[in-house]
Amino acid sequence: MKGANKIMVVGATSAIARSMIRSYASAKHALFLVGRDDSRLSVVARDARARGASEVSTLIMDIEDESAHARVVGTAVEALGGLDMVIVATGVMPIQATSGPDINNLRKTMSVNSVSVMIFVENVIEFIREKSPLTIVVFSSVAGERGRASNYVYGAGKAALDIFLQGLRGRLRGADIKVVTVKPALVHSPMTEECKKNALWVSADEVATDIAKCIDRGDVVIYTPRRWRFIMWVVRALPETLLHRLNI
Amino acid sequence: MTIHRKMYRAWGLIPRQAQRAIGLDWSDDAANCVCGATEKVLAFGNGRSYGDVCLNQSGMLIDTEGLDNVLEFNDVEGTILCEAGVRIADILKVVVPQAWILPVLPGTRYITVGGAIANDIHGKNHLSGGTFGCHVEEIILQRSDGELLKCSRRENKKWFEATVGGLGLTGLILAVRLRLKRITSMEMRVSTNTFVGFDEMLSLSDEKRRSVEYLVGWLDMCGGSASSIRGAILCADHGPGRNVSKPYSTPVINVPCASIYPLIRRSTVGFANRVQYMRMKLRKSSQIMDIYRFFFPLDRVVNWNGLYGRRGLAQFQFVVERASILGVMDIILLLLRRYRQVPTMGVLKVFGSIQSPGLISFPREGITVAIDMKVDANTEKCVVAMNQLVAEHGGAVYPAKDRFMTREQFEVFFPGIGDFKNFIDPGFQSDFQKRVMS
Repeated sequence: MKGANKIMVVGATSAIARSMIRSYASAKHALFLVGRDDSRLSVVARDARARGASEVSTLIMDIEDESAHARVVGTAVEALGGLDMVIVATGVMPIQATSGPDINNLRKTMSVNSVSVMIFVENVIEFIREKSPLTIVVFSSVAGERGRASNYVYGAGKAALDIFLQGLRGRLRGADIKVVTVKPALVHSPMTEECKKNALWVSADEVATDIAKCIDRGDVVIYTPRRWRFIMWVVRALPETLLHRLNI
Repeated sequence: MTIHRKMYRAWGLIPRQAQRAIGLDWSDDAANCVCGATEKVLAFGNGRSYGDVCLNQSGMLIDTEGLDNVLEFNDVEGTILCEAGVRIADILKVVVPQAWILPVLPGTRYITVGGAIANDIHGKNHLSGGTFGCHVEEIILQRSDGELLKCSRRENKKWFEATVGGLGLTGLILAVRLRLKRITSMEMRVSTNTFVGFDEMLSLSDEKRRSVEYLVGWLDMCGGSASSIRGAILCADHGPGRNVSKPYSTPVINVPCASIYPLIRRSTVGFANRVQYMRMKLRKSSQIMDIYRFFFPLDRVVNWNGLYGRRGLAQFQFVVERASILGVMDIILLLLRRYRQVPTMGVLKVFGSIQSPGLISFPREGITVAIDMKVDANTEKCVVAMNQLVAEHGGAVYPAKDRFMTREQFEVFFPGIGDFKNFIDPGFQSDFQKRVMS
């Protein structure tokens, strides 16, 4: 990865984040890892250290805890001596029952995947205040592009996030802060364990390599695997009745 | 953690139906997974065993793909602590740039460390390096009764000896500490000598074995008799360069699935082997190769087993004393002819006297030959007959490659089985174990 070598990863125990952490560690970057689970976070940190990261620190934080955001960013900046990139890879995907979502699930999903991420990103921008160039990479999903019966609550959260990040890019035009939206498609991970899989599913490692390349290239909206940019263009064009009838 | 059904297959492309499995992504879930299971389990790594040592069709598999963290790498003393799902490929990516390497390397880098220990794999340097288990310092083993054992030559020694080569039956290997070997270069100095006739090959290997670190023979067995076997002996040592940072070589071809029309068949094998023999003959007698090309030549074709078609392949690997090998090979070729089997290729290695710590480890002093063949209606009869031949000559057959050995043959090959059975975890089983141990 060119340029940036002080990287904060929030949601560091997620599958794609772990793959990205590994390649940044092999490239000897300095890492600040944030997650909710202490023992798992420390395993990810040990792995990063063993693979060659120049510096690895960790901190426990739940993204829903807004009061912790500024402290976490401040600690990262202090630990790494600056910050070049922030990756936000948090997210939950509760299984949506066929009869409709559980209201508590709905509230939680929107809070964790959508509102908390938006607030965190704003808090990061506020803290950094254009002191130095920064790239903020946020994980959304192709699920946010259409409302599908099988996963519309998760999709709604991601859709809100997409628009927010797009607007943020508009607001930050001319500033030294770049906001990147990553839209993974079908990726094998503990989060998608219960989904029915087929030949279109890919590994977290493949996707992580793709994302790193696209970030280096300067892309601001990354579909991964890349063919999904075309697939989603088709899916977006489908009339709604056809979308629901196809049940994709 | 949920139970899912997925195609978990051995390298021989068995079974044809999905198996029940549970994904283990974090080692802190291991106790829950192993102790809370309602049926007997077996860890599944990367499915590079050829036969049913890695299968558990009447129980459940524990998919260890997610246990892939490297926990510690001491690049001063040369040790690495990693979870059991870490692959040889991943370890090399971490250690080679720091001028270390695993002391024993198998023919493919896509196996897990757990699988390497469970089968006590060997490489092309058994004479000086022994088996993989000889370089294992510590194994963390999760048992189904809740116990988490730290096993080494000093602590829980008997458990250590049962787990090395223990086919995953003593419990779930969670993490492993390995000792590494220093290298100065990613280059290997390789010499290639072709031969015609198995006895010429044996003289070549006798001549070369004491003066090189790595020795392997490639055999074209299409000729049908020991005197017509031809091939090449490759001898190699580390060095001479100083560069350890060359990029990792990537696969060239990916076979996406088992070919419907098997590309490996009687008509193509002979031709392919002739081409390979000519390529070996045309090689300079001494050349420099990078470590990936020397150790893992077949890794350039991902999923090459698909070329055998849906019925898959079987590999018969045996070891007998040096004194018996010529006679045994004569009869093996006779049996292959009698049962009309197509031996795609043979690989020969020399086993020395370094003892593995494993109770039922395969390598013992002698010559080992591994023969690949396409599976058809007669393969089982042929392999059982070959197993019998090896048993009569006091040798052994490698469980990691086997599908057909009988219980009686297994007990002859592995006299340590009586002692080993005391260490089998009652919560674990494998199709191989059900076939030959119960």
